[in-house]
Amino acid sequence: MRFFINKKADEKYLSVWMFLIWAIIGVSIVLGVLMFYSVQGDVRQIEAQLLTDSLSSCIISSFSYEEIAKSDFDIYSKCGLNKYVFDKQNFYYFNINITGEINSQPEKIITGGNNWKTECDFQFTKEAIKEDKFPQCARQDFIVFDSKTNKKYTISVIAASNQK
Amino acid sequence: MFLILNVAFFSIMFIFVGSVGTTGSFIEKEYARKIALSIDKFAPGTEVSVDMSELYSYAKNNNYAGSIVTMDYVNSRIIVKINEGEGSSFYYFNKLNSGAVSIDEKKMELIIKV
Repeated sequence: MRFFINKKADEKYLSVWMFLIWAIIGVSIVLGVLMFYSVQGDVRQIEAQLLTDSLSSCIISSFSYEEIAKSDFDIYSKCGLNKYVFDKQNFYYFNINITGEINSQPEKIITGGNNWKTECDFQFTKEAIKEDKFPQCARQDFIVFDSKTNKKYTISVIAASNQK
Repeated sequence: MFLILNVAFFSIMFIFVGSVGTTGSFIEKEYARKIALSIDKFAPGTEVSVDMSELYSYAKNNNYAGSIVTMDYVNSRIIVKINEGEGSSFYYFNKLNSGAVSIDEKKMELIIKV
């Protein structure tokens, strides 16, 4: 308290500088709060993971390469997805790679939505820094056994979402 | 004067920080996302209920008597509104049968039959 003894408050502090500092503080707080809520509301990674899970479980259940290899195979009706959203909205992407046991080249590739393969491949590299402007991707790799063809297949499912 | 201005400024900032998360548009967005993710998360045949009492209370405060949740089954889009504005919409990727989402007004719950 003794610091304040014999000290007089002075209106000289109410200068332009003080208002400028307040403006800087105010703008910073507003931006910080808005950024916090926008990050909190970003569910792209969750959506990508959900799409990957959904596609994976759909492919695994009663897996038949014969069925998938058909030219008229419709992933949308098989997995209960709305084709319209994938074709007309720029929010989703998926890529399913089915590789045979011996041949390392993909035997069948099924894709849908926007082509974000490059963005997803970039995110899956070890050195990749999280790029917020890119769609967020998720990946699942698994091996399935087809009892009809008696063969093992490696399946890689990649899905991405860019819905903010 | 300096002290009064300081108190006023920081009070405004505190009120802003405290209230921004509970504004109408944030609540609408949050619920639209929550419902869309519920639709995408659960396997076909599942029934999910989402508590909507918070949305009802906001709508009541805003004197909004219209439809709080609107489903666009063709475009897989959900629209949440708690005032007369445009509301907030969010897309989901699963295909839902028309009428799969209903509202239990008494319990203030949204029932989703995935």
